[in-house]
Amino acid sequence: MVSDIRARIEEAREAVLAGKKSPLYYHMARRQMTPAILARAAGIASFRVKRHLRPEIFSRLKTSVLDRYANALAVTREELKTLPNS
Amino acid sequence: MTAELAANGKPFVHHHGAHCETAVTSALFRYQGMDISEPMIFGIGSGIFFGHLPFLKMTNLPITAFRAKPGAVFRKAAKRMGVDFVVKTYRDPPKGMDELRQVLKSGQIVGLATNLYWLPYMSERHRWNFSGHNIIVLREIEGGFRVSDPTIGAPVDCTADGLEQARFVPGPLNPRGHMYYIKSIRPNPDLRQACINGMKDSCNAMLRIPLPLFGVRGIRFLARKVVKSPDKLGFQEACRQLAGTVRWVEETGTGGAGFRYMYAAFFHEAAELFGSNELADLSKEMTAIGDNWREFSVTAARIIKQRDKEGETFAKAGGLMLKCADREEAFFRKLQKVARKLKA
Repeated sequence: MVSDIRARIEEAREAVLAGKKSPLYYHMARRQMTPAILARAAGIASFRVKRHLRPEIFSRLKTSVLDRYANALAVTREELKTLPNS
Repeated sequence: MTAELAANGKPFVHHHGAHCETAVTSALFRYQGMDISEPMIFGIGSGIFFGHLPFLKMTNLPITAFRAKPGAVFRKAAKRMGVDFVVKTYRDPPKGMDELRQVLKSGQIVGLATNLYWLPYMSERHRWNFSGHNIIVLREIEGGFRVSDPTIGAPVDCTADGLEQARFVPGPLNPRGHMYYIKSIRPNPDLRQACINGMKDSCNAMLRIPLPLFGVRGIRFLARKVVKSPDKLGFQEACRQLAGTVRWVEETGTGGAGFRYMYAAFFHEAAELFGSNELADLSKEMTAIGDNWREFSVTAARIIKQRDKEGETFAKAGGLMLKCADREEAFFRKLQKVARKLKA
C-alpha cells in the first residue's frame, strides 16, 4: 500500500522531469491529493487546477495564485516551482 | 503507560489503545473518573458495522468501513451512559482553534478528529490521507499542544499549525475541526441498559438498512464484486483493489479482522455483567467470525503475492467473505433474540 503511494509519487516526478506536467502535479501527488481535493484546499476552481497542471500554463501564474497553492500544500513558493532532489 | 498532567494539573494516564476512537472515548471517561474498557465502549457505542462505498474514493480506492462512521461511537456511547457532553464542528479554522484553546483553559481534555497525513509527529510510513483519526489534546504548550495519541506509546508535542492543518482537510470525510469533550458524568450509569441499547442498534445496522451497500448485504455485495473483479478490471487492478480491502480489514483503526475480535471482547465482558451463558456463546461465535475474516485476509494476501496460483483464487476469497456474511447474519439474528430477553 505504501509502495503504491510511493510509485505514484515517483511517476509524478518523472512526468514533471519529462516536461509533461507542471511541478504542481508532483506536489499534489506528494500530499496524496487529487485535483478536486487540491481545488477545495486552495480555493481555486477545479478546472483551473487541472489547467495549472500543464507546465506552460503553470509557469505564467501570478504570485497570488502560487501563494494559495503553496499554502494549501504547506510548501514555500520557491519549493512549489521546483522539484526536491531525493 | 505514562502519567501526564492535563491543563488543570489533574493527572492523565496515557494508554496505548487498540483503536483510536474507542481508546480516546474510554480515556475521556477515565479522566472523569469512570473506569471503562475499550471493548465496552465499542459495544455500547455500536461500533461494529459494515459498509462498502464504491463512490467515495481514498487514494483511488473505494472505502470499505468495518466500523460506524467516525464520531458516532463517542456520541452514542456518551448518550447511552447519560453523560453531559459536547460535540462541535466548525467552518472557520481559526474559530475552531480558538474554542479549542478556551475549552483547554477551562480544564477539560478534548478529543479531536484529525487527518493522519497532516499530523506532524506521524512517521512517514503511517502517513496517508485518512480523516478519521482521533486524538486527545491535553493542554496548550508554547507554540503548540500536548497531545495523547492512542496509537503512539507516549504523549507527544504537536505544533499549532500542524494541528490546524490536520483538523481542517478538504476532501472525503472532512473532519471540519470535529471536537468533543465530556462536561460531567453520571456517577452510577445504567450499564446494563446501555449495553442492551448498543446491541439492538448494532443488529439494526447490520440487518435492517434497506440498501445493498451496508450491513450483511454489503458484505455479500463486496464478495460478489471480488469474485468478478479479475475479469472486469484485469488481474493487476483487481489485486490493487483487493489489497485495499485487506488494508481496511486488518490495518485501519488497528482493530484487526475488521474489529470482530474487539466486538467479541465486548460480549465477553457483557456476559460477565449479565451473568448470561448465551452472551458468552455469542462471544465465542464472534471470535470465530473474526478468524474467518483473518482467513480471508491471508487468502487475499496470497493472491496478491501470487504464492499459489491454482489454490488461491478470487473465487475462494469471495467465498470466504460470503461465509463471513452468512455467519454474521446468523449471529445478529441470534443476538436480536438474546438482547430482547435481557433485563436491564
